[in-house]
Parts: sequence; C-alpha cells; structure tokens
Amino acid sequence: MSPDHEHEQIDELLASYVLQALTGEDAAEADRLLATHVPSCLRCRNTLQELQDLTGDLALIAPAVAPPETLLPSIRRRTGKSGSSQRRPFFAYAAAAMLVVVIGLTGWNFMLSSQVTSAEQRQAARSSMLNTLMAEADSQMLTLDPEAPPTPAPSAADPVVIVSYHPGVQHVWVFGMNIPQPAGGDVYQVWLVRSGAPTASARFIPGPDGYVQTFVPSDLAYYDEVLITEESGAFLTVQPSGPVRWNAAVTPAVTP
Amino acid sequence: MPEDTGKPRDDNERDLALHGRLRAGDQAAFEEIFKAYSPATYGLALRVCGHQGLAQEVVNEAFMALWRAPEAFDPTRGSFRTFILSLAHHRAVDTVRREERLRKRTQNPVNLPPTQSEDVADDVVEGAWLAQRRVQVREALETLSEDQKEVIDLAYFGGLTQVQISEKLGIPLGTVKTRTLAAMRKMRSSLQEVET
Repeated sequence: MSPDHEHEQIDELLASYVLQALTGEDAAEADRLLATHVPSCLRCRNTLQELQDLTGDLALIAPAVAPPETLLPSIRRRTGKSGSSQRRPFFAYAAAAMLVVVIGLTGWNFMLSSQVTSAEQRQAARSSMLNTLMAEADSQMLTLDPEAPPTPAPSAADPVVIVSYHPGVQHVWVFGMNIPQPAGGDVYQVWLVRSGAPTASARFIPGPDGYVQTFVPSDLAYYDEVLITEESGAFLTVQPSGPVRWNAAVTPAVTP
Repeated sequence: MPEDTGKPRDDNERDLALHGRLRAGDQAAFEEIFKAYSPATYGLALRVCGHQGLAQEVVNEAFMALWRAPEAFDPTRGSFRTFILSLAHHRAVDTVRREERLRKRTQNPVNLPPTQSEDVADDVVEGAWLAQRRVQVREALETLSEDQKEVIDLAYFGGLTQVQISEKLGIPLGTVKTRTLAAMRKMRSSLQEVET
C-alpha cells in the first residue's frame, strides 16, 4: 500500500474519530494509530488538529438558542458550592483528565498502559473508562499530592495525577498530565495500600507529551492510600523501594 | 498596530484573557464565558438531544466541567471556542446515546416533549465574531453535496456511528467513511479560504 493511500485511510479514521462515530475494529484501529503513528507524524497531527477545529465549527450550524434564565443561577449555585477559593483540586484535575479524554487525545495515552495491550483491550478499556468517568454519577475521583514541594505559582505545566474509581467495582483509572519522564531505566509504580500493607498494582512510563492513563483492576474503596513511586528495573517490585512521587489518602465513601 | 479590516475581531484573545482569570478562580470571568457561549452550546445540545431538559443538562455539565477544570483547555491545541463547543458536543452525543440505550433497555419510548423548534434562535444576540463565524460555517456547509451534508448531519447532530449511518442510508461502510472525510475536507478548505 502506498504511503498516500495509507494516509488516506488514516484520514478517514481520524475524521470519524473526531466525530465520535467509530466503533469496534475501527475504533481500536484509531486508538492504535493515535498511540503509535500520529504522535510521530506531523502530517497526521496537523490533520487531526484541523479536524478537531472543524468539529468545533460544526457546532455553529445549529442555531444559537438562549438557554432558560434558570440555567445560570443553577450553575451559579453549583459553582458557589465548589467556589473558586474552595474549588477542590481533585475535582478540577479529574475533570481535566476527563476533558482530555473527551476531546480526543485519549488514544495517545494507550501506548503507556502496561495493563492494556491489544487493540480490543484498549477499546474495552476506553469504553470502561468513559463509562466510569462520564456515565456513573457516583464515581469517585482523587487527586494525588506531589511529594516534591509545589511550585510557588500554579501553572498549566505542573504535573497532575488523579485516580478515578467506583466503590464496589474493581476498576481504577490513573490519569496523569505533564508527568516528567522518570530517570533512565526507571518506571513509575502504582501501589494501593491497606493498613500499611502496599500492593503493587501497575507500572507506567509517561508518553512523550507527559500524559498517562493506566488501569488497575482493583476496588480502591478497599484501600486507604494510593502511592506512586519511582522504581528501577523492569519487573514489578513487591515493596516500594524508590522515592514516593505522589500519594493520597482514600476517603471512605459516605454510606447513607 | 493591526490593520482594521472592518471585520469583527477574533474572540480568541478575549477568551484567553477570560480563561486566564477563570484559572485564578474568577467567577465573573466564568459568567462572561457562559454568556458568550451558552447560546451556542445550548443550541447545539438542543439540536443533538432534541429535548430541552437534556440540553440543559448538557450545558450545565459542560460549564461545570470548565469551572472545575479550566486547566483542561490547552491554548496550544486550538481555540477556546473549539474547546468549549467540542466539549458540549461530546457531552450531547454521550447524553443522546445514553438515552437511546435506556430506551432500548426499557423497550419503551422515552417520554420526551417534542423536539424544540429552531426558530427560537432569532432572539439571541451573539458576539459579532461568533455570529460572523456562524455565517461562514453555514456557507461552508452549503458547498457540500446533499449526500455529504447527510453524513455530517447524522454523525455530528444525530450522534450516529458510521455503522449506524451505513445501515440507515443503505450504503457501504466504506462509502460512509469516504464521504465523511470528503465532506470535512471540503468544509475545512472553504473555511480556510475565508480565514486568509
């Protein structure tokens, strides 16, 4: 197949990808391309950007309609509850990660997941993640605190790690943005801790753009802490031996 | 000094300033953004969902997501307008698909009021640049063939997948893919012409 023909097929996938119109094998193939080809192909990156820009423009085909006057006060009440001075970082960053997903960058991150290897698994994982983040109102999100002192002024370039989980369900998603590469040969390792006993749960290396998305098949509600350490070596270690980079206590869910 | 072309100025500079204030937790900036983009996002959500309640839910959730995570907008990846409209679109498609799943699961028709008429758009006052862009986008849409418009409409506003479009129109999946790409390229090309 000629490179032009191959790119034509990629363009077709990307066009439907940004429209959220892919399913099955096509969706898996798009994920694979977004993870393996697009990041290193200037032509495809530009195409993807142009197509994403167009999806924003397409919204303008629909007539503008003034929303009901009750809508802004309703939102105002909610923003007041999580007002600027009280805005909880874990909500912010969880939603940030979610938004990264929804605007179509998710595929870039799948290459990072040590838990998800095949296209089919990626597709399943993606569906699971979207279900977790967007459809399940009772999903919990937690921002991990960096071990290093925060920079004096918060910046969009600061590393952010959040986890999303659903009490009673064995799936935890770990998302990261602006995550620095670990030292040469090192990897990040996720630990779930209960009563002081850590369980090695996943390993990851950030992508070139600093994004991370990895899956842990555990119920986080069972644990009381999440740790991410930097470990050396190629194998999952059974006890943390490297420095802790991020951590957070898991707040028990309130039961009615 | 920028040349005065007589055309409305791109809102992106204003949007970036508002976004910067929003990142600092400025609620007034958030409300300015809401006022600027809520008619477009609500109109979009109404078109996709066909239901006022669902459309309000979409807009509510989209703007709350923005409030909670303004960092999610990365200016290096496109304009703020594209970001907020894409976010609303994604929410709307997700909502309409969720409702469709619910309808199938219950095997009952969803008890929704009739689709909102679109002629209510006339009472909306938009920013000059957004209004101008709306005209440009609609003109670009008119450059498409009816077949091309149809696939864009079904995918973008109908929330249908390619497979569903193929089944609905009775055309091969490959044709849907080719037609979709051709339509998007043509629109993009038309818009690039007016941007230069």
